[in-house]
Amino acid sequence: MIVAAVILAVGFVALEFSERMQALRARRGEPGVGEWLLIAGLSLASLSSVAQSAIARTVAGTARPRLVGGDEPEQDAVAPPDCPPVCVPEEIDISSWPTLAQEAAVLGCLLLGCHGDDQRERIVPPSPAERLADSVLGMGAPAGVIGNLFKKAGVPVADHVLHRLTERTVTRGISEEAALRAYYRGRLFYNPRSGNYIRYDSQTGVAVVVDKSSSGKVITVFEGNPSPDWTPVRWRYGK
Amino acid sequence: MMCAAMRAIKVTVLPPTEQGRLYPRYDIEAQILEVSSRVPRSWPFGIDIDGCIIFDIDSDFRLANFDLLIPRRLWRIDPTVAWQLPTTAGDLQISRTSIRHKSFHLPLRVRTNSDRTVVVIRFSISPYSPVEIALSDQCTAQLTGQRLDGFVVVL
Repeated sequence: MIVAAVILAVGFVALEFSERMQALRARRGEPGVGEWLLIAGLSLASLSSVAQSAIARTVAGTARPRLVGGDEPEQDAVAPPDCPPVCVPEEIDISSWPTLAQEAAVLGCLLLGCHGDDQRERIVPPSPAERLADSVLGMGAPAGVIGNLFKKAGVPVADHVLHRLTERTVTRGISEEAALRAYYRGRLFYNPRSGNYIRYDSQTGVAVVVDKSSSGKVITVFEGNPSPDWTPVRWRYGK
Repeated sequence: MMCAAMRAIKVTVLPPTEQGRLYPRYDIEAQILEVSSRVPRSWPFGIDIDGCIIFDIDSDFRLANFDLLIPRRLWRIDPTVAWQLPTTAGDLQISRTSIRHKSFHLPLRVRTNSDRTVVVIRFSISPYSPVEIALSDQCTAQLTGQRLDGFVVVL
């Protein structure tokens, strides 16, 4: 019930926003008012990736897959990636809901990561495979979007980083936001073995490897713990 | 938090699959040796050795990629380095214990032949590994029992 209420609340806010924008566009005499819901849906879809990435950043420490069980391989299992912000435990039948509430639920799901199944009139949770796929694509963000934050910030990155940001999923706490945060605010180390500098963010556990101590190009990103081999360097601003 | 005392990376050898075939590529821009599977998929787990080798592991715990961050110019030249493909092929499955340990502090050494086409990556005290497993026709894993000692890669 709580989950349904949250989905509805978010959906109604989205609908309200949609209607206000529709009215604004109508007042301006712009064409395509009837297309607004579709546009709103697409906008919300893209917004959802931003919102979810932000949430993923906030909960990075807990959003990683958990290893459960003992040390013996047969006893071990891995929990699937964590649910999206609102995890629908099971399908919710919305067939008896008013049309407005159904539309709100579908919009709410678009933002929160569940699915509104129009034909069966149900809200369904994403499958583990879908969650994993979302993780790979930066919580639903199109692959081409990866790198935009670095670009906007004017931080030079190697192509290698963009690939690794895609593959080293947010389930490991690695996201573009986390990498950028490490770049700007991470503790600075020198790795004498590789000759590179590392900016390590102790809050997220994410490290970015850079070629210079300040204003350097990001070479790669990973998560882990600082090595005893790394030499702490007096902190300086990332850029 | 610093990494705990040195421990070995434990692996299990599985029958070879396409997912576990690893092929090398040297990224000149980033100065990183990438040894990757060609099967695209997510890598939800990762471990590293002193931030110099990053291992990426898929949802079946198979080794899907490793990146050597030590640039080619720092590989130590050793004329005795040579390439020989082992007869046994397999995939490497990383143990859950090692995945939990996350960051390893191991004595990493990287050697190469004079034209830098064969790279020997060792992160073990022992100089010799009795078991060699082909991860592809360009990459070999060196093992002692379940302990992963290193790799030999031909570029």
